[in-house]
Amino acid sequence: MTVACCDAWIAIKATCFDLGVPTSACLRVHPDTTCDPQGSLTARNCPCADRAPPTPVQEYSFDSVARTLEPTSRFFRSAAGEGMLVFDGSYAQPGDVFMSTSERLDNGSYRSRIVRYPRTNGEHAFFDSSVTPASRDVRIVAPPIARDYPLKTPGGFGFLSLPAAALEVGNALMILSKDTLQREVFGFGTWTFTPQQTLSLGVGSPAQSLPQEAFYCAPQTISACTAAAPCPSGQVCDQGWCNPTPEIACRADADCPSGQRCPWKRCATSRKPCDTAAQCNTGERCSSVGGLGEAFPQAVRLGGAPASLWSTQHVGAPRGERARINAYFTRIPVAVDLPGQSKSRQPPALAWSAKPNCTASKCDRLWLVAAPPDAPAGSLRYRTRDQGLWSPSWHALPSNVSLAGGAAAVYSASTTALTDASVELYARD
Amino acid sequence: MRSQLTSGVDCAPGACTWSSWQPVPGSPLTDSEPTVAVALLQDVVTLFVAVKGSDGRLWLGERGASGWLAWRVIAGLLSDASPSLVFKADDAQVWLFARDRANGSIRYARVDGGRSDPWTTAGGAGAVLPWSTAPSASFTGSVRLLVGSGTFPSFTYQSMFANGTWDAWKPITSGAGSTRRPAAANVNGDLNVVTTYVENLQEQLVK
Repeated sequence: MTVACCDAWIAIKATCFDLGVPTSACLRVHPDTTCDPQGSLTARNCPCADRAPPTPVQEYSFDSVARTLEPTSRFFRSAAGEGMLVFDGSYAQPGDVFMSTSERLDNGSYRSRIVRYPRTNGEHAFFDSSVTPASRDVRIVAPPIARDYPLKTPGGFGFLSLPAAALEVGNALMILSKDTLQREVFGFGTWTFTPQQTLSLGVGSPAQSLPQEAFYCAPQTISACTAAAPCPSGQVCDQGWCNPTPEIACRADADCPSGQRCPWKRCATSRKPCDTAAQCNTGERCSSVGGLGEAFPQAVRLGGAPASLWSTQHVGAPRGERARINAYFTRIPVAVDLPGQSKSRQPPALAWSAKPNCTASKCDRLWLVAAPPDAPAGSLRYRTRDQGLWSPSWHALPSNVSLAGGAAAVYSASTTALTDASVELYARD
Repeated sequence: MRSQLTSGVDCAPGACTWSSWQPVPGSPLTDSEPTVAVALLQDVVTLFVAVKGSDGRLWLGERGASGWLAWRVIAGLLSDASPSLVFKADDAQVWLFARDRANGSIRYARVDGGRSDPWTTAGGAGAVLPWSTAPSASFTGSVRLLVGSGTFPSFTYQSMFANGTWDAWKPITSGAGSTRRPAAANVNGDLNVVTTYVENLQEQLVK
């Protein structure tokens, strides 16, 4: 059956969908978009003023009983030019919301801030009870607390250094970029940024971006090209110079076919492979390709034993001749409370038992000896960590004497065969 | 005092059995936690135990194939905190670390084979004197020395001895503070550490 739809309806599988009332006015896609419809219904004549508009954010509330999703704020930004980056772990235990911002400045560089909206009287500054799902306007809600986040990558690539992932561990919110791990610590009812605990990520000191996983083979002789002057067979014209096709990843020249090489440097703008600046355009640097494929992490997770923050860098869709960095898995040690009872009145002691040829799951085991609060005075208790999991509770040690202080622990045996290996404890009475 | 696990090391956590606490033969009076390390010296497994005497002197006990030897004083240093022993497996040496009560620095001496070498300052540049906790030494291919620093936030610092030199003291990457001696264990080459801040225990990997 043929279905005929009116204007502004489309038919999909014999069903008509209402696309709305036809209009020659601009659809309000973004407040920073300037439209000049000129009688057209397309967005062709609705360009952004001079740059991509900042991305706002909106908070929703999910009613798990009614299974409904309702907005609790309008679209908002922290400042007129700032786009908002929401973390997986934006909401901290005290109810405050952390986000980061990204602003492209007039000189082409980027600026970022860490912003915090505290929960006050149960809600945040962006809360709006009058909002409806149809609300499309964007508000500016200045954050009560904000601090600058210096971006390590300068200039137009500054966005690569944006802090884009965060996770709360204990009383600290860990904020992660490709360059640093920063901590906002909650204590005594307030959040404090602790710069002395900031970690720089990378290689060397001062830390530099991680090296590329692989480069891509380039011709021995650099040839410019245009549409009118194409490349020879086996090469394609990209960004004004001839590239081999297909692309072949390399770590050294030997990885490349005859007549090609694996360049470590590229001209800063044209991206031609180079050895000296003389091979680049006038005023153009011949520099390491480093870091251009590495961007902010998009997710961070806590796991392992002992727990660490695990993340992988996001890869910013590098062009064909640029480096690919997509295989780094970053592990950052963090301190976490022992699960369950984590207090001790005495210094702890640790020992690791690893019995060769043992097939049981508890032969490789961490032993912890301490004095949890519920241990009688003068006694110690122990706990084990098997397969990365701590025993749920502490267990008693002998109490035939009243001990003073903590203990020392060691895994020992009479011979290297470890046939009589055991855990020994030493303490004082 | 000494107690030993009498059940297998794979015992169910709540069902592990231990021998009663028994005095270590000849051990001197001490007012702080002992330290213990096991060493393989000339193919003989030797256990070293050290304590700080009530007068600040450091005492060392050894248990070899023939049992406990007489305890001896490692002279030349008076300490005010628990010592720490480590077996440096790469060259079969046993080092004893202690906090010097004169200035709060951490010093060490080689003590295996009946030695009592001169005490030397441990750790590289950047020491936060006086260190506020007893030291904790481990070996994971290099000697790892941990100690707590000063007042709040009392960061835990580490210095490593590798290739014949100590590197600079640096706060451990986990950012944990220590108000008591950290506890450390070599877990398949990784250093697992439990720190204490006030009375709260935290575990972490230390690189």
